[in-house]
Amino acid sequence: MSKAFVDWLEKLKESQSWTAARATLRRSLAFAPGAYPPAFPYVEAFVREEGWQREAHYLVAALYALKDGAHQEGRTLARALKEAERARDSKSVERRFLALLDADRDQIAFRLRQAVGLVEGGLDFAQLLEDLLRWFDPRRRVQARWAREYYGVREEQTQEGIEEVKA
Amino acid sequence: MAKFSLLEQPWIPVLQESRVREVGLAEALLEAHTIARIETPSPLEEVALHRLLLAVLYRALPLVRGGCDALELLEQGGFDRNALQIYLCRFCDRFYLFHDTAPFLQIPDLPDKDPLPWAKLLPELASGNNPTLFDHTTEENVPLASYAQAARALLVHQAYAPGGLLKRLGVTSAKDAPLARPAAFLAVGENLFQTLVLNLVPQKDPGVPVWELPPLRTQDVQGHATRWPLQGAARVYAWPSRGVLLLDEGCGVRKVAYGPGVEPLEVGFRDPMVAYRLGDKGQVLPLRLSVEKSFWRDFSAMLPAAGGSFPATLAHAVRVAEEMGLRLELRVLGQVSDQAKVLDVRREVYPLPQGFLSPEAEELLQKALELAERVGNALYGVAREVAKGVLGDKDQEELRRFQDSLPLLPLYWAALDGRFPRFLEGLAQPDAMDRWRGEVRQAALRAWEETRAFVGTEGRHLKGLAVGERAMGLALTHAQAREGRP
Repeated sequence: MSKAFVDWLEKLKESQSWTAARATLRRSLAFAPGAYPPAFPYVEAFVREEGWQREAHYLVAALYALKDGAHQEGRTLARALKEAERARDSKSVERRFLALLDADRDQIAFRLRQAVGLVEGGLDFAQLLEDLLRWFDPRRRVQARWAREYYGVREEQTQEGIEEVKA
Repeated sequence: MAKFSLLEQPWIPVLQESRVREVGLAEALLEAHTIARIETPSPLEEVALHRLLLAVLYRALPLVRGGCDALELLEQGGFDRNALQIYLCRFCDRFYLFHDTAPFLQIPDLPDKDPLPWAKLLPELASGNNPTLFDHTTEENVPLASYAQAARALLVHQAYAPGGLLKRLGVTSAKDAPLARPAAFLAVGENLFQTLVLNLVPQKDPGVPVWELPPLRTQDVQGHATRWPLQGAARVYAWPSRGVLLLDEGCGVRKVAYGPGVEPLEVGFRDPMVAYRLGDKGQVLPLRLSVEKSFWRDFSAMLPAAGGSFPATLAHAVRVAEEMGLRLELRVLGQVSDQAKVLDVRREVYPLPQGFLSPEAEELLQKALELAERVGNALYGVAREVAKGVLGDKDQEELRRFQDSLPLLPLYWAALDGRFPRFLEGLAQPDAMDRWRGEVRQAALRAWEETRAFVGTEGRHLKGLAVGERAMGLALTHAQAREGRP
């Protein structure tokens, strides 16, 4: 479902109406998600439920427009943020990331926009939407996975560890 | 006046025909082959009672000189009634709990002007500076102890009293009783008779027990007037560490007169029930129990390869049992103390497999213990990473407290505590080590899962967990990679 939505956005990006759509969706970021009527035509068809599910779609569409449709499959926001931290060599990215993990429904739109703003290059928006839809699960699995992606094992590091042991 | 004969009156709790009952000392020995075991909730009592029975046996039976004698004794299926009866008859008036001139293991003329509550005799009961472990009696409302209870408490106290301030009869401080610190090792057979024979370690000279000597009087202990070399199992197993006099109230004991006992002179005697290990400076140290870890983790310290030595009871029992094809169980019992404060009393039971004393088994054991410790150490590092992830590393003290609060290590060791006996039992099987490796890994992973659930789900917690998980992955690969190397 999330994939279909992002595919549609991708197609929109290829069309002539993208410039107008992008402007509208970016503009929608100044409102609460789903509260800016001019954005309705681009999103509403994909909304199956009211509430957070609807808001998440609007949010992702707006962020997609913010990044000018830089969709890159497999590059999650957590990983992109980690790369941003390394590139800037600053702790502020990590602080924002932790704040994002703890974001509740009032804060999440703002913090996501901030976080996405920090990222260079594309993001996996389908995954982002998928994750947002399950963001408020009490077990907080999504957040735990994000933390793992951010702080977790990197292939080369494990390999180093083993080499070290063998030496 | 003589009252409550320890030989005749029931006071030793035993399991006989699936029933727990109390018997006198004479019956315990004469009927030992029909008794399954001494059955008491208190580990200290269990040791003290066995030691008393053994001390009697050392003197009543012909001296056991080696494995052959023990085998012969076992084959008889019971103790020599005649020899026992003659011996017990000879000293029967020294085994009264209350006696005008020779109360058992007590001092008859001890001044009773500052009596102590009888609970003072047992570390499990709250009194003085003992922390309250399981018991909430206070010194004001000491319950009346039955004679049997008082007799057992007396025995426990003489074996386990920790040294420290005393300030009575010109003595300011007293030394440790023989078992105050070390753990005691008891090899347990299929019935009490077997158990006693298995622990009747050959002694060149078992020494003269206290009931064969003239009764001690107050003047003998005043100002430490009497010093005996701490030597000979029969002597040490019933050592008068403190001067005690139970004060009879007619139907029980509430108070005891108290004072110093015989001062022990260290002569390098090795208690047969105690394991020794080599200290950092080459000194020989008795193995102790510790509060935070189960005994098996120290198994390797007493392996001869590490310069330690098995307790004589264990070595003797395993040899004899293998000859006879007996099933053995090892019990490690004792108290954990910090100076004069008793923190815990413990009983740990392990199966003793056939072939336990072989070099192959020893090597395997050593390897298994090393693996468990190595993973344990790695998990310690993981816990630190988690703490650092959650709190940052500014305040070291807070970091350490948080780290200690994590269930990771306690759960890991608790899981292995449960698994180790099974590993020990299957020591001879070819895949023992593989299975142990699996157990260790499982224990670590399960402990990690629990820790995940414990930590919480705020961003900083998730960060700590993610960092910890990375460390965890490295730790397990490390431990395995290391294992293959010499």
